[in-house]
Amino acid sequence: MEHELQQWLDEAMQGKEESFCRLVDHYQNGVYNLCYRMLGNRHEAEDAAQESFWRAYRNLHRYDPSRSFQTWLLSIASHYCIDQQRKRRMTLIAIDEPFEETFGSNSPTPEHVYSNNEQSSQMEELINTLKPTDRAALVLRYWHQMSEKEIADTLSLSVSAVKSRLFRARKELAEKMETRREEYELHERETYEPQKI
Amino acid sequence: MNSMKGKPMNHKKFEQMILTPEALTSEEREELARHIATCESCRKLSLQWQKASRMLNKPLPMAAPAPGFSARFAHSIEKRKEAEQQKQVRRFITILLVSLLSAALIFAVTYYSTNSLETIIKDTANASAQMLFLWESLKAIISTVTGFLPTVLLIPFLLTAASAMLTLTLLWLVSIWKLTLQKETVL
Ligand SMILES: [Zn+2]
Repeated sequence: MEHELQQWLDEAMQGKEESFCRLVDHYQNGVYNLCYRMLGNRHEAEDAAQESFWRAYRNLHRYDPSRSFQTWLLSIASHYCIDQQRKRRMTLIAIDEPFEETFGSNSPTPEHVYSNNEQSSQMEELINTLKPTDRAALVLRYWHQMSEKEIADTLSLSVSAVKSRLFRARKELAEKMETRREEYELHERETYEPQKI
Repeated sequence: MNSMKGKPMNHKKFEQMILTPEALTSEEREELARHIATCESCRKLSLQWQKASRMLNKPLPMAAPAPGFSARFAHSIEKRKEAEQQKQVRRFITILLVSLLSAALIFAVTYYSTNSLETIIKDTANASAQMLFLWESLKAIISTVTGFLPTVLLIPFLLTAASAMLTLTLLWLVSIWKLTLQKETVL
């Protein structure tokens, strides 16, 4: 497999379109998942993933073969999604009020959202509220199992910037977690045992 | 912060420890446990983070695209290439147009500031006559060339002709305007 991928990559870099499409087939899930976790919507994720592969195809001559191709693809996709998120946030802020008034009553109630009742869907809702770059760092950390160094390479940040973004994202998520009274009291009685992460 | 018995700095440090527990030494763990026993807000944060991290660390579903993703990509390549080409052509035309127009403008301004009105009118008349003559041959050239040249290549050609016409019109207009001004001062 490794060997095959390398061969497709070499051929794609020499301009063979068919080989690049093979690479697309192989890496689609990773890129799509990142886009989906970043944008939270299947339709936009499809467009973003397609666009990311197109950008990779156009800029293949800039790819540095000493880096991992997967990381390079994810880097293109995360930069694109961060941009999209920023644009979307700007328009959302601009139309915030009429949006609330018109659709506020139709928006799903929390019960409805959580009745899909995977906890992961609650997590999706929470992740939605993070700043784009913080969100990207968190997605790469927990969905793509990247180290802080890899996240730094992917997002073109320093390792310490990644650390502080992950910290901020975790804090925001934690603070939004609802805690029930009884859990809280139980926890109070327990001796604190730090968890494995 | 005030609930921290006057130690806000330490409190910040413990938040850091709660949210990045992977880097803690066993002494730090004990220190954190002691703090949490006395600090309500850190205890709350710790509980909340444990919940959140449990959710994050559960094997999370990887989202997959609808079947046929790479085929859709392969199909879109041609369209995307075309769109990109069109974009480049548009950019090229815009640049060409802007530079031709500014060249015409610069020419007109220097020409007017260095020549007398009579020479200007005479020259403009001559140039117009030549232009009319050229136009006929230009049309002949275009009609033969359109057969085998792509339209894209004709565009710069036509633009040059158009901006020459524009310059001439401009010259005529300014001449007429200057003439009326002169008459008014004479009267
Ligand atoms: Zn505290």
